[in-house]
Amino acid sequence: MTREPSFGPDEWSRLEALWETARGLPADQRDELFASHAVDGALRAELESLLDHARTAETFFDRLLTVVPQAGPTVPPDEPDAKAQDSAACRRDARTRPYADPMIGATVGHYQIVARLGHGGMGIVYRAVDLRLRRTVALKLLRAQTPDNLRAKDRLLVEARAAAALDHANICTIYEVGETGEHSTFVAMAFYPGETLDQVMRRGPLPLSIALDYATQIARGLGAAHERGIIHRDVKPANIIVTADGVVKLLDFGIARIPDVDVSREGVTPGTLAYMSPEQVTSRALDQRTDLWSLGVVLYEMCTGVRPFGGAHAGAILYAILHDSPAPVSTLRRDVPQRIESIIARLLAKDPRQRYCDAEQLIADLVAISDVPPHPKRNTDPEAAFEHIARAAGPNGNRATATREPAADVPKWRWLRHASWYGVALLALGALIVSWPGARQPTVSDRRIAAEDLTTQGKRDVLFRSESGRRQSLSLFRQAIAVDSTYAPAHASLAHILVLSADEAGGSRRKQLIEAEKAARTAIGLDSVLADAHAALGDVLLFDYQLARAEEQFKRAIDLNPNEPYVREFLVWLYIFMDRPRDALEQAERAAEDNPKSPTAIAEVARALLVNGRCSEALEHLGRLMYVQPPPARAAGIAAQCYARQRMWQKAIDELRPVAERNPLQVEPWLGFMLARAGQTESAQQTLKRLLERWRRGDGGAYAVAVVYAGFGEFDKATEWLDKSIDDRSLRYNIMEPAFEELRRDPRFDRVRNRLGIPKR
Amino acid sequence: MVEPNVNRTVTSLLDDVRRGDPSALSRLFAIAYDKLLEIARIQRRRQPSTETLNTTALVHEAFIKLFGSEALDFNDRAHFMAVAATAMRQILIGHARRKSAAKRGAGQEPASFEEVERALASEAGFVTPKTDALLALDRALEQLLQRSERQARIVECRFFGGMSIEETAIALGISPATVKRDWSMAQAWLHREIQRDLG
Repeated sequence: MTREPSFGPDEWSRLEALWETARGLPADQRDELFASHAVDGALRAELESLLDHARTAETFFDRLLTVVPQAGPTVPPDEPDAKAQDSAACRRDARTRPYADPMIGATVGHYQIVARLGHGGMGIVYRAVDLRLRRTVALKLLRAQTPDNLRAKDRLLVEARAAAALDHANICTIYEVGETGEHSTFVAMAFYPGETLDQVMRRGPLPLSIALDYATQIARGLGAAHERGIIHRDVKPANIIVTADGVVKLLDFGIARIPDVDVSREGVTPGTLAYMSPEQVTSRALDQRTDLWSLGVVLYEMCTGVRPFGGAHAGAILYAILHDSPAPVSTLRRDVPQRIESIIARLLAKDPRQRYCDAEQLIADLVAISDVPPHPKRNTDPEAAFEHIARAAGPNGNRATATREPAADVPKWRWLRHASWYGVALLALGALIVSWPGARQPTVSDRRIAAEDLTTQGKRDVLFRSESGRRQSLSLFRQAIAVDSTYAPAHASLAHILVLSADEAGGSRRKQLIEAEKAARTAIGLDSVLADAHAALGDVLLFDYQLARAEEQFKRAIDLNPNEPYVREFLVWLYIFMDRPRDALEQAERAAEDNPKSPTAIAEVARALLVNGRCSEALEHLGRLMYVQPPPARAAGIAAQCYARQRMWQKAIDELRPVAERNPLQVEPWLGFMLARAGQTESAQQTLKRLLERWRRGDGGAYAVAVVYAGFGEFDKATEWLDKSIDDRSLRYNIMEPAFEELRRDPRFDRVRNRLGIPKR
Repeated sequence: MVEPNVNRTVTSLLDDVRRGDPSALSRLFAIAYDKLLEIARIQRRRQPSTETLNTTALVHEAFIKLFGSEALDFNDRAHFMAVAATAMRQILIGHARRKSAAKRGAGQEPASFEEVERALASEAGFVTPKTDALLALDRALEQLLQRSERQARIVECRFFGGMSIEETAIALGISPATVKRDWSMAQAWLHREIQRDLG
């Protein structure tokens, strides 16, 4: 490499001596320096050459530094068909080098292609930027159209649109399916930094706790799809992404279900065939149980590192699927408990009738093994959960170390059984990875992308969500914060959801509001001009009956962003609470102007009309929301109030009954109220008993009890319980709705009014 | 986290290294090497999805694990980190070699310099060109060592150890200004040699 043999130590020292000065000079002023220092010949050539390189060298090393490959065991060479979503795991295809791909830099629709991620059966997947929403997406471009697959494309569109309607934490979110003249069909999906399960498994079998967790998450995603009648048909490790924080995402929903490109007809790779069910390989009718078989194969492979039905060629694999019993898992891995073995055996029953009927049953069994509650929040005090996370994420190194020990040694899955809540453990782990000073830090943008994504998912239709949906949102926002604690919108959303689900917090309502206030103030602290952060604080204050201060925050939010969704809807509630029905209507109408199609805005117009005594108009509005069965609980509740105002008690009851089951905490008290009014004393008494019981257990608020007493016309009791409901923060703004009119006219109500600071009109 | 016996050993080893005991240096190097490898493996298990790792964080974690967070003064810390930087280089290059061998086995040609630059600029993790660039850097560093041991050591500290200008200056017993100048010149020189090497 020594190219200038005459270049000795002396010349090197002279280079060093001249370096700083020469670098500081523009190229055209260097001559003088060279002349004054007698720099010529080889020395000058060398110096000029180095100066030339200095311009790019720094960037080069900066970039090289950020990509120093990870040390550790050698990773086997990648299969050319690896389908990765992770930019870091992005691989160079042996034949076509990605940067030679003409699509890089091209714009498809409003997406700009940045890099190639991989390719699958139907086309190539790129990482792209959504130019409108400024977010990163995974963009799948389908293969060029030939007359043969035109029909296929049509079906694909139908299927992909169906899949796009699936909204579940374990299903890859599809943003858009579209067509462009030149580039034919594309599917824009959420981009999840992570790797495919198939890449994960290349490093060997997984710790049992992890395998069970992944299987449970896959089952949850499948369950949600099956509920909607969508079968995946191509569940395999290459179609499953594990994000950096351990969330499993199922890819390619519905896309597999296109006969013309069906895997069974062309180019079946062993990688696909090995996961197909007996009924699938023999082209018999399929139902959801085919997906459960495939999940069984995946679970087997996660536990043992080998596929249950292997073979050197397609024929052998086919034969094995149809006729062979796989080697018992315990012969391949000793620490597999009998219960996992039986779950796998049941999933891999050749006759679909002997498998689980649905994903729910499977989840119950998986969860029973890991001692994990089926719903992440079921038996947890959210306060404790939050502390847990906060502690893990806290700056104190020793504490972090204490939590860290078991994490570093995952195979000891007992640790997870001891965690009070498995989800918390995972989140804490996520938080820990982010906070532990020595851990590999995901880049800021990685974390931000993930946090944005989780927040967006959690926010979708949040106001119309059922109780379990709200729980899901809550955990998504917490994950977002665990991933990127400086992302203000996640804190704001957390505050909102804590307020909205305060009723579900039972006895710890006040605690939850305190936590919500903390979250809202954190959001403001991080971004004081974020409208949603002020809206969130307003929301907290509204539910804490600090009405004037709530109004200030809502107004601030509107000043900052007049289009911030929901703020005017909160203002509707606030003005109803403050007994300002006209202001409420004004805000509701403006909200509906801003978002004419928003169901919540429509509902709030109806509510405002109701409190202004315009019930028939309100019902007309609600008609636009009631086409789904059961209708949104909020719409049903407003309709019931409309009927109540017209003293049509039975109609009110009919509105409430269908939604009571899914939203018992909000709806049941009002159902009790209407029953009492309708003279169905016995049912009303039963409801009252149930609500009292719930209150005694600490699961329900005092307000629920007050509502039913008001229905009975027992104003003594009603006001006594309203007093309590102010204390436990369960009282709601709908105390000012028409149903309570009589009670409000009673002098005993003045005390409540005074405590809340509502002026008497 | 601090293992008391090891702690005593490494601290006294550090003293010996400063007194110029070559066997102490190699023992300290071995300890740093093992610890770094161990942490890297734990991290790989913990975050298997990542292909890259933060060398700076790794060296710091190794330091904390071996010495505890406040056990050493700035001087000792810098000296240890310089040793760890060399260890880090060996770990990374060893890994890159294995990876590269696997790629070559699969019939892939080494990346050209142009490909390396494009891979670096693209954000996406095209692993092979980067691996090739690292191996070329290692070869060029050996050449640089022939011309200026000081510059080569500075590159090790800065690049592989993620050390700051000041830490590097303390560890090598030179002024920060020298570190700054040498680092800049070494980068230019290495850049040129890597380009020549990869073609």
